[in-house]
Amino acid sequence: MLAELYAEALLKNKAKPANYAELWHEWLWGTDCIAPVEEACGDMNQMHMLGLLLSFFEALDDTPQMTISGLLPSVPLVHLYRKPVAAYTLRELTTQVECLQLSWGCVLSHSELPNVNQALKGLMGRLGSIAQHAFSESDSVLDDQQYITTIPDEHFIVTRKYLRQMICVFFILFRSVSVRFGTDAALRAQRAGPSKSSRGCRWRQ
Amino acid sequence: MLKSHHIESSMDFFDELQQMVHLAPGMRLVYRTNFAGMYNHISQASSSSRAWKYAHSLEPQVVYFHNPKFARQPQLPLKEILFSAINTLPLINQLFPDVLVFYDDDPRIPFLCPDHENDPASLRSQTIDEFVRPKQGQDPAAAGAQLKDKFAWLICCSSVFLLDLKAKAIWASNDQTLTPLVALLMANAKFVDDDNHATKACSMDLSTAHGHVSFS
Repeated sequence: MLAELYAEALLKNKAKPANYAELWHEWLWGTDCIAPVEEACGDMNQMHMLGLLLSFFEALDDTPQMTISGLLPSVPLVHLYRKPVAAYTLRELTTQVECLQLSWGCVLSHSELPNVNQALKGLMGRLGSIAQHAFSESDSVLDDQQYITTIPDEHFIVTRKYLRQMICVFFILFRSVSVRFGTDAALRAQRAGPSKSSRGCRWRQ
Repeated sequence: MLKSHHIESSMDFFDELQQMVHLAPGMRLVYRTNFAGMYNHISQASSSSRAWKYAHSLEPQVVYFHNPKFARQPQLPLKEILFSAINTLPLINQLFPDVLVFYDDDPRIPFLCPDHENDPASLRSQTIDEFVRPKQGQDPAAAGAQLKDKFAWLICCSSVFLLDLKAKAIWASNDQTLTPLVALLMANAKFVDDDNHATKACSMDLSTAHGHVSFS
């Protein structure tokens, strides 16, 4: 299925497939995130593979001016770089994601769902963009030696270990967004409509 | 409702829980992926560090790997516990041990992971089962089946949620406490407060560590 998606939607059509939302749901809740990695799958499991494919699709989105400070203005702790996410180097991408991890509770508490989602998807898309390409030494994109490896023709790519690590982090961050903002969205619906909450609880269905 | 003995009996779970919440989101999953096949428990220590561990303070390997400065925090005094959901949950788990606890990186979270929704065997908490023994003289499957089938705790990026498995809903507290969620749980549970217990010898329905007679 993943190979077909990659060949049909990504390489041929260069567009997200019709069941893109289902793919996200399948990635977040339908895959076994602790399944052993398989050598035949490039030392990844199904969760890693699907997550990586989704990052490739996110890289198709054209958001050249998107910045973290613009999307999450109320959390200055995570404003590491003024440059757009699409221009991040490998080190900047890694640092920005780690910064978000460390301040994740604050980000969720002080930001709106669309902005958090867009920031995460922008970073994931940047990961997909970097992961899809090989870079020469003159390119300054792969600037973190510990996460890159060489391929023939003196080009460099990011390592599988780095990809697995980043996909795992995005996986948990998106899961928390799904759980957390599901409750918040329903709270707004509950205030507008008939009450389905009780004693200070929020609900989601 | 909550007494000091609940603190004492929940310390194992509390220590485990604080290791989880001291990790950045996703880092246990990263550890499990990078060291595939070697992960067993959040508090595991590698064999190479075992001698060091006993010679010095206890250092949980997974937390220490990601956060070398991690230091185990003591549980709060009983009066202050209710202000923190993470500190309260271990005590509530003593009152409702049948309500399973899941973490955000568990692969089989009931109701959220659809493949495992109707598979009771899959509804196993990865972590706290070892602390919850079935009571002697009761059918383990029947004991607490009602609550186990209806509710589960979900700890997601240091926030605590209550999953209503029947109503397919996720409940969250409006503040930092666990009080609204516990109220919801108690409304659905047959709960007997310790204060209502008569102190009497009882060897039939309570399990103790070595089968001794216990007092309830």
